[in-house]
This record gives sequence, structure tokens and C-alpha cells, in this order.
Amino acid sequence: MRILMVEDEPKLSAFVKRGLTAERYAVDTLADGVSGLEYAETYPYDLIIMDLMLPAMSGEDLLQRVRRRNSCVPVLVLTAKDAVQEKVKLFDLGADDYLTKPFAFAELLVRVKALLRRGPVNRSSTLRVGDLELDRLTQQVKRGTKRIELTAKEYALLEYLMQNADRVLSRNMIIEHVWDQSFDGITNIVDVYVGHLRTKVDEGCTTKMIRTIRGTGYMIRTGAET
Amino acid sequence: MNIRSLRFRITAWSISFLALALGVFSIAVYLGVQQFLTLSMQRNLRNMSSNVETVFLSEYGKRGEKWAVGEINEAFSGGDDRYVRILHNGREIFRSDDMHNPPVIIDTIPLPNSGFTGITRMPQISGGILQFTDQYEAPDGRHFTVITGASQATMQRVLRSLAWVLVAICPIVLLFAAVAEFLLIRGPLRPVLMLTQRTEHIGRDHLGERLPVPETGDELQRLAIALNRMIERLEDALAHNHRFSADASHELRTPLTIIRGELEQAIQEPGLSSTVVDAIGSALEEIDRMSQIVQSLMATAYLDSGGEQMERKPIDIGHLTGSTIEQMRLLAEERNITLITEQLEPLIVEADPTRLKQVIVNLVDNAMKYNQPGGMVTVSTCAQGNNALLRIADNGIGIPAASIPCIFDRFYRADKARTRATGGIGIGLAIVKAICNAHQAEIRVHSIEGQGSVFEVSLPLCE
Repeated sequence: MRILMVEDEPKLSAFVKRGLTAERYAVDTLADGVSGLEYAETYPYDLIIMDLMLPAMSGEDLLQRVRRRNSCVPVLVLTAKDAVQEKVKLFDLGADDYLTKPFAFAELLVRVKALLRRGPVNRSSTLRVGDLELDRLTQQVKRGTKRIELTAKEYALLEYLMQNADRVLSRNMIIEHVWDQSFDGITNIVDVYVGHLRTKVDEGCTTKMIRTIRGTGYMIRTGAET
Repeated sequence: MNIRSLRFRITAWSISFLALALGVFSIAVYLGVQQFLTLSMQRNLRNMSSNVETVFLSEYGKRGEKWAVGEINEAFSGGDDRYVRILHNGREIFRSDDMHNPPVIIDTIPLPNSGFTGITRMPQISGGILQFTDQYEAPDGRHFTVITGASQATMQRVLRSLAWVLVAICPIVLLFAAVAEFLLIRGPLRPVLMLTQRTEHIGRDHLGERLPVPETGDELQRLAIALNRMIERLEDALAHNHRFSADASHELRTPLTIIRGELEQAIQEPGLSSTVVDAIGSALEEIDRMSQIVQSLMATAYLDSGGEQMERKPIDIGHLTGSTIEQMRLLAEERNITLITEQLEPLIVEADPTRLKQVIVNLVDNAMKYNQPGGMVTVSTCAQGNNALLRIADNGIGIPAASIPCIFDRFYRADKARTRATGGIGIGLAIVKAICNAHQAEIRVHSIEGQGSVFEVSLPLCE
């Protein structure tokens, strides 16, 4: 999978490139809009990640031009503005997703993967991580043979974690998916719910599946390493 | 009537001056009339005296005393309010009849000392007597003392009536003047009133507007121009402030992203010692907090600048509050706080649902944060006039009275040590305030330290 990254901040594109390369993506990084457009028109990229404020050609212009030429490449926009109307405008211009700075790399990765697999999304009715099983049809959760009773929010949280098993999810991502922006930043609602979920899922089991990644967020994984 | 209003004060002052002027005028009139009457009376007495002397007494020697007295008696029989007495060599040769207006027996009036010439006042005798004494030397060398006198009672009566008229008229004039001025001054003051209302309107949240400048060339025009300049400077300063917050938070976003990204990758490096992992984890937590601050700053800057593009639609604040509270129950349980919804009247307001929800979340979260385990938070919505009232009360630690005016400021914390532990960043209430402002909602807080706080948000109801 080949990804084009247009971002004028070299350090930012450097760590994104490093991270994405580690995930086995091929990444080209460019620092301005004009050369970005050149590359986008020349090579068949699977995904374009771009900043909105670029030298030589603004991100908006670049986005519009890319869309005019090649209408199907997914575009993820990195933006420092987060006003609602900015986002609406971005979608109007043809962006597929956006990410507000500052973001966690995990979040970028989740979004990149989501954009790249558009279509064949894992929609199977049962999610499985280790011996933990979640049935989307009956909304039942089992660990081994033991049934786990969850509230609606806990269920939504677990489903989101399991959908992204083995991947770190930031509090911000969890809030956006399970709650809404109103809870953003102010409360520790995520920690409280994860705490509750953890006692229900991991209590009495030797392998603790829900893990806290300090400073980043939470992740569910089979266990083994600590 | 507002006794401190300019209108009242201008009227009061000018009426006071008018009263003073009228007083001075009245006294002057009174004294003038008194002076005039006294002088004319003196002139009369002198005339009378010289008549007696030149017409009759000069003939005394030639025609004899009997003739003179008879003639004088005919001319000045007296009896009314004046009298004549003539002494010749110390003997009284003529005395007119006693006065009866007012009744005065002439004999009781003391005679002047011999040789005295001039005016004598005798205010002690009923009504007051003015007396003129003249020494007359007839052409034949005979010496007479001519005494003419008159009662001042009539004059006093005239003066008394004049005084009464003045005393009665002044208050009436003053009352009329006061009423008339109070009514008339409304005209010239009306532009001031309008200017005040417009300034208030602009000052609230329409800094982009300006006052209408009347082309009158008067003080009001200058005032309007001066106020407009001030509004402009205010607008500039606020805009600068907003731009600064927006720019600063905007500029901070990229470096924060980079630091976070680098650290996130660093922490995944295999073989790191637990101390290093801990240190990076701690740094990542702080970056999280900084990101929140930056995000909140951006949000308040956006809202403060008017939040024009904010989504607004009719929503039921009662229902929104209820559902938000349900989502926060677990948070309350975790902190061992009883979260109660008292009365949730379904009320329709026009608002941005996400922002309004943020107000509820922040205020309830705050009420729980600044509380003790076992505490209580009570939430209700009810109608109050044309407003929907959202009320969030707690029995927590309360806010010191001195801090109340500052709690809506960015980064303000009433108790630095305590809030650090709760993990707040001191911007939650600033956001609440900014959202309220953008919704034309009013937020009030009542608090007693040690007993708890009540936050009330008052939003205009949808028609």
C-alpha cells in the first residue's frame, strides 16, 4: 500500500512516516502543495494524508485538484482548526476523513486502516479476542463459558475496543465513538467506564485483556505479555 | 421617580436657583416698597409742616393766634391718621384731633426735646408713628415748633399684604416652573437615554455595531463620537485577544502533535527500562492535558468571537439534561456522589445541542469534583418567565466569596492545591461561560463556602 503524505512540518511527517513504515506501508513525504499535486497526479497512491496549511498551494486547493483528477483515492486531512463549519467544508471539498491536531499516532493509524479497507470491513456478527466473545446480533458477551452482563455503554465500549483489538485507542477516539464531543477533555468518564468494564471482563481471570497504555489510552489484546 | 436621574437633578438645581432668585427678588421688592412708602410719608409730613409755616404761621403776628389756629384747624383738623401740633414759646397753641385710624390719643405722644429738628420714629405706639419736628422762625421773629406726624399702620398693612402676596406667589411659581421644566427637559435628554440603551445593547454582544451620531453639533454628538471610538478600541482589543488565543492554540498544535508522536513511538521501543517507560508515559499524560488546554482555548476563542456559524435548532433542554445525567451516573457512583434530577420540565430552547450538553456536563462534573464523598448534586430544569432555567446545585465545598467573580476566567482556580488533585485545567467554566454568551444565555452562581454552590443557566425559551 502506497501512501502520500503532504505536510510542511518535517518532524511531523517524519514520525508519521516512521510509524506507517513500521506498519509496512510505503510512504512518500512532500513538504508543499505544488509538488504534492505533482506526485499525486503521477503515482497511483492508495491514500493521501495532507495538511491544510501548506506553502505554494493551500491544502484546500490541493484537495480540489486531486479530486478533479482522481476521484477515488481516499484523502485524510490533518487540520489545526476544529470548528464545525471547517469540517463540513472539508467534506464538501472531498475529504474522506479528518484528524484534528494534536492527534495520537494510534488514532491516525486507525483512520488510515479504516480508509484503506473501505468496503470489506469486518462486519461479521461475532467479534472474538482470545476467549472473549461478543455477539453483535444478540448483544451477548461471553468470556469462556461465563456470560458477562453489560450496560449499553459498556457494551458499546467493549465492541469498539474489540473491533480494534491489538490497537491502542486514545481517550479522545473512545469518547468520539462511544459518547460525543460534549464529554471531551473535561471528565474522566472513559477511565471510569473502562474500570467498570475491566472488573466485569477480567475479574477472576489470569490473563488481563484490557490494558492501559499510559499517556495514550486503552487496548484490548489476548494477553500473554504484560 | 429616580431622584438620582439627571433629569431630576437638573430640575432640582435650577428650581433651587430660581427659589433663591425669587427670594432675593421678593426681599428687594419688600424693602424697596417700604423705603418708598416711608420716604413719601416723610415728604408729606415736611410739606404739611411747611404749609402750616408759610401759609399760616407767617401771618401769626399780623392776624393773631385765634385766626391762625382757626385756619390751621380748618386745613388740618386731623382725626384720621395724621396730626399736627404747634408749640409757641413752649406752649401748645394747636393740636389736631386724636387719630382714630388706628385710635391714638395725641396727648400720649411724647413731645420732642426743645430745639430738635428732624424725624422721630416711634414704633412702640400702636402701628408705629412717624413724626417730623421743625423749628420755624416767622419773619417777625416769633418762634414756633411745628410737629407733624402720621400713623404708619396703613403702610404696615400694605407691606404685610405685599409680603403675603410674595410668600404665596413664590411657591406657586416654583411649582409650575418645576413641573414645566421636568416635562420639558425630557426632550433634550431623550437622546441621552437612547444613547445609553444603544451603548448597553452594543456593549453586551454587538461590538461590531456603532452608535448613531446625531448631526447636531452639540455635546451629545461629541459623546456619541467618543463612545464610538471607545467601542472601536474595545472591539480591537477583544478581537486581538481572541486572535491571540486562536493563533497561540493553533500554533501549539503542530509541535504538540510532533512531541506526542515521537514519544508514542519511543515508548514502543523494545527493551526500555520501566523508569523510562514511566517517564515517557508521564510526559504523554501531560501532553494530553496540554492538548486539552489548547483545544479548550480554541473553543473559547471561537465562541467568544461570536460563534456565528454555531448550529442552532430547537431542542428540549429537559430531555437533554435527563439523558446527559443518565450518562454521568457512573461518574457520580465512582465518586460516591448522589446525583439527583429533581424536576425536568420539557422546555424548548434554540441551541447547539452539543454545546448545550457540554454546559450540562461541565457544570455537573464541576459540582461532583468540588464535593466530598457522600455529597449530593441536584439538577433541575424549569420555566421562569420567558426563560428556561437549568439549575445545578451541590452541597460541596463551595466557592469563597472573593473568588466568585473570577471563576469564569480562563485558568482561574479558587483553590490551586485542591484542584490540581482533581485534574482540572481551570477552563471548564470559561467554556461554559463562552457557550452561554454565544447563546445569549445568562449564567449565575450563588455559593456559600463550606455549604455548596448553585449554578443557574437561564436560556431564552423558543416561541
